[in-house]
Amino acid sequence: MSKYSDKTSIGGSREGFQTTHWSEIFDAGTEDHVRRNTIIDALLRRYWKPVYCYIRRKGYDNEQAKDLTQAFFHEIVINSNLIRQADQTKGRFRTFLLTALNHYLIDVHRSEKARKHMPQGGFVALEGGSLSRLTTAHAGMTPDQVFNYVWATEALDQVITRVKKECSNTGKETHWNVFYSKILAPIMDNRTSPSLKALCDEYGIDNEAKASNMIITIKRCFRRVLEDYLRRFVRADVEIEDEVNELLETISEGRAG
Amino acid sequence: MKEESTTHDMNVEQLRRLFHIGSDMNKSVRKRGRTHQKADLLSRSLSHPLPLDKSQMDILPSALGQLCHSIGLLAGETISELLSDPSTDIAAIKRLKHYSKELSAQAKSTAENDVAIAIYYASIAHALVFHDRRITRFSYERLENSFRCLVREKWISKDVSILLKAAGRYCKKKAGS
Repeated sequence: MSKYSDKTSIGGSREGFQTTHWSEIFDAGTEDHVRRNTIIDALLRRYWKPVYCYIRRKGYDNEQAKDLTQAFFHEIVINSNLIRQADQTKGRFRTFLLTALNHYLIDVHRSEKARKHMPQGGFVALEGGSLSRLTTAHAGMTPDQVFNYVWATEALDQVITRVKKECSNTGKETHWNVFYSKILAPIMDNRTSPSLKALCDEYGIDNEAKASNMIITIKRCFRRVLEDYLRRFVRADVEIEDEVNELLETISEGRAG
Repeated sequence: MKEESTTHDMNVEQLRRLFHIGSDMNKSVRKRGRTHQKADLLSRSLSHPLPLDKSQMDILPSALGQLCHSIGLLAGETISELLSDPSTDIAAIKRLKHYSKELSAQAKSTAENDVAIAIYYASIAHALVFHDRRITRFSYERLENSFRCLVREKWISKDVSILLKAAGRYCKKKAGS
């Protein structure tokens, strides 16, 4: 499956970014087991990658990391202490998840608690061709930095996938291709940005002004989708920029820019 | 559709550049939004009448004071009318200037404060242009500069802008003489 397809490697659709994760976590305190499992699955689908990579970086092998990743999401939903710590007025969702994960692993280390919380019917298979690739890019990083790095790349992956899908759904394939060639690929692959004229020739666009407008349209779309995505993790819109800056700062401490 | 690239193994600078795609345009959109917000706020403020003098209302029983306040709001000319009418009494213009200071002190946002400042300078401009009176201790040079800065703002309404420009010319003449 291609990187920017609509499915994650553990299955499930990525439709929309509507729900706030704080409310999901608090909702998860419900006694309704079906609802609780739905929430756990949703959290797992969205955040397993940074959690899994963090655990791997802590020294656990692939199988242990997969089991612990799933057990962790059950734990944050079931364990009332962790939920109580999830005071959204005091921090951001990403920070909460990382702190909770750290506490959880300390707990596991002390008491092998993970085994007690194995869900009935077993875990969702955390299989995917990208697992080994996920863990090879983090040399020199601390577990916290790995978590934030994967969090950032996962956010960008999801945003890019969503923008591409929006373009496809609205008949803007050429818009996407021009935006991709002129903006995304030069950044992601460290290659030179092609001229607008070259893009007009390649995609049969009438003139450079039209190509430029296409890029602006998708840039706006990219920004909107990115802000929608990040909005879920902050208390107010004004914090979105801070969240990005803090995220990049924590990563750059362990990785040369 | 194109899709060969990957975010895996990108460095911080690459991540930063991706996170900031479109942020420059967003700023201009936000700026445009703020301009519209201020223009709207100024327009609404100018369409309100100047409230009765609070110091007089405060001595009335609260129920009567509220009634006077309501009557005052209904009966008075709007701020826009006061500012555009050359015959507006200088006392009313001074009261408008005082009112704009209150608005500024109570402002809950930059937009509200900016609008209050615009009304403040518009009242000074009215006194200069129509009454040949300077109702502030600010120098003509400083006033001319302030009027010029305000006129540049896109959210300033046309009527207020005309008044500020005229006051600017007045100050320039006075400062030169």
